[in-house]
Amino acid sequence: MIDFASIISQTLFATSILIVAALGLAIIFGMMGVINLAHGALITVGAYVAYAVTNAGLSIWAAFLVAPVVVALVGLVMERTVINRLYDRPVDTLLATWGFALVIQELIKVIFGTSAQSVPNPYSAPVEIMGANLPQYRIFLTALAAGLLVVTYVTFKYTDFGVKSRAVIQNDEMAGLLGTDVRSIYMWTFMIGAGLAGLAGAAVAPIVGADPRTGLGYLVQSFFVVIVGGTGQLLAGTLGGSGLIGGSAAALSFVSSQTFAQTVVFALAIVVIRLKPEGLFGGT
Amino acid sequence: MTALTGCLGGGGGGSSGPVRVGVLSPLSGAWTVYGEAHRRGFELAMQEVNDNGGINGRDVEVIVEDTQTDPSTVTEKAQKVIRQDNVDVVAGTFSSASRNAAAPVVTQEDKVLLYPTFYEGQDQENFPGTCNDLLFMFGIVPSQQAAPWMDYMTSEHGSNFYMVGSDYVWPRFTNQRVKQSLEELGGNVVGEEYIPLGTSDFGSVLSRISNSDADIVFGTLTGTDTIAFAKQFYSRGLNEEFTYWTVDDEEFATQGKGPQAARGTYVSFDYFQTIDTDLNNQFVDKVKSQYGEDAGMDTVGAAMYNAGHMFANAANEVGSVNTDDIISGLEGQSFTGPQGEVTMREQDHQMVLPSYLVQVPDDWSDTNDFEGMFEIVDQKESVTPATANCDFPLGKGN
Repeated sequence: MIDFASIISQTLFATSILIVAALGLAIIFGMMGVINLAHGALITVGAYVAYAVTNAGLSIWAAFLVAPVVVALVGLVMERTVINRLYDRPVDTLLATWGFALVIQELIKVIFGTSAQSVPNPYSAPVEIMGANLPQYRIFLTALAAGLLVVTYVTFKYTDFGVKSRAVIQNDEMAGLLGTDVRSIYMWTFMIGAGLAGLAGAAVAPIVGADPRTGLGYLVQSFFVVIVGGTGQLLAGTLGGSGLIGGSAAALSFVSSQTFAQTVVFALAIVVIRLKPEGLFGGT
Repeated sequence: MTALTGCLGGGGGGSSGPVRVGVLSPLSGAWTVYGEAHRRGFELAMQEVNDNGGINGRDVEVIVEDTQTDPSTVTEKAQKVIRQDNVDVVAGTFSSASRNAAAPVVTQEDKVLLYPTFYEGQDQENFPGTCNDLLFMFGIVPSQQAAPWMDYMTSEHGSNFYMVGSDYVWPRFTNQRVKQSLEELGGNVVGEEYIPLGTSDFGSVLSRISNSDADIVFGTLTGTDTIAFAKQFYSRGLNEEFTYWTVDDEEFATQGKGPQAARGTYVSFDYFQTIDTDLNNQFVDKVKSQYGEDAGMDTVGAAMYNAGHMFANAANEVGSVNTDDIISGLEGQSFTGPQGEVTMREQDHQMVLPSYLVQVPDDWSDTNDFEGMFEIVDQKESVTPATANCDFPLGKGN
């Protein structure tokens, strides 16, 4: 007999991991309009940073600081060399970022080899809450997801940088004329998105490991989250999209097989996009 | 006549010049890690064959092709090595799907395929292509891998099984056979689930396992899924409550799980790098000196190594590399491989192999330590596989 606490907690866990995974894409694709197919590869780099850091004898918590920085730097290289030339050609970003994804994936194989690597879990025993055994790390991830979501939202909604960033993305010519450093705003926004992907990689590594394809699964799911939630809707879109794609699949899989649950959820996503192409929370 | 066609064919394939072997390995894509061991095992065998005078005095040339973990690429590459490179024999392919993609090609071109992977066993009814004179199976099947240990596992740990597998053919067929032996032993299947490949979140499955009265969780998850599952199994504390036995997690998968999540897990196969015999130690040393200290071996690599040697021995015995001669040479061929004595059964081309039950010890801590990764619990020197579910004689391309 499955208890209610299990269903609630697993739904929450599945939603929160997708929030963490999709947040970087919600910025780069949702806000900036760059169809970032390298999002998965950036998550993978984050996972490998976690591996390198823990393998060097440091704590996984150190990886939470190092991974976003390293991956933001990868983002910097991407943005400065190629992406900044393509802001007015969004469809071309698709090819360019896929190219980056392939290069990154192969570089990882050259540096770390092809086999999967293990990243240890900082917690051992689960805690019992209302009769359900809950893994502590997943509880931490839920808190992390909530924290990241709020911090990112506040940053883009209320800070000086956030306002400039949104202004540049909406109309870079006008923003430039008003004295905003368009180049630097684009660059920093892209780096923040990439850094969040890196953090996601480090965050998922203790529960899925690190291998050259770790991020690929999250790439597809993240795009679904952003599109279903509504592009440009950082808070509500990411939350709603993650809930629909991750959370409902987890909840459904308690009453059906996992295969069936995933099929139903993706069918549901298609229905949402058909009826509301701008996403659950998108639009005017 | 043979020599003439060989010349017309562009230099290879005849009775002069090198013997050519086409190796189809997944060197990119999801199964890359197995592909590396795969290729190493075969190349190593061929080097040893060449050092000992080659095949009928001719050197062996290995042509490696990357199948990109994609069955349609397998078809293309199989055609390429046979038609363009004029190979005498084809070795490799990894998954059942990729083997099934190569089978029609070798049948059409009348070439032998040496298949190295642990798999579900030949079956005329469900996979007509697998009952084929041209296919030789060097990997272990469920009747050798799981059945011999059912007695031990049920008496040591209990007879309620919870089966978790990836959603494709190998897990389903393996579980079917395990269920048969479980029934004979009076055990029960208290849960059976198949998870789509590429799943990274196992929350609901783990909740169901946690609430079940299973004694043993029997795993046939593969790829990165088996790693994610083990890590989440551990973080839920389920390793304290249940015995976990997997028939997938060879050296590379266990490396990916890491000591924390892998400790205490049972695994069974025909080969483990930890097997402490002179032959295996030599084999492992050669792999390391050739491919680097961190290069590992697993059941698939060892099977490719055996396949290479047994093909060469067969061709030397019959004095030819013609397809029909290789078939008759390989049938009944015995060899002492890194895992011990092995024999290619004549009737269905299925290897008679040893079987090992191992467990990940508590003191394993370095993920690159492949020797310390497993501790042998028990071993059986020679396990005869269940007779393939085929019509006999096999015939080419049934």
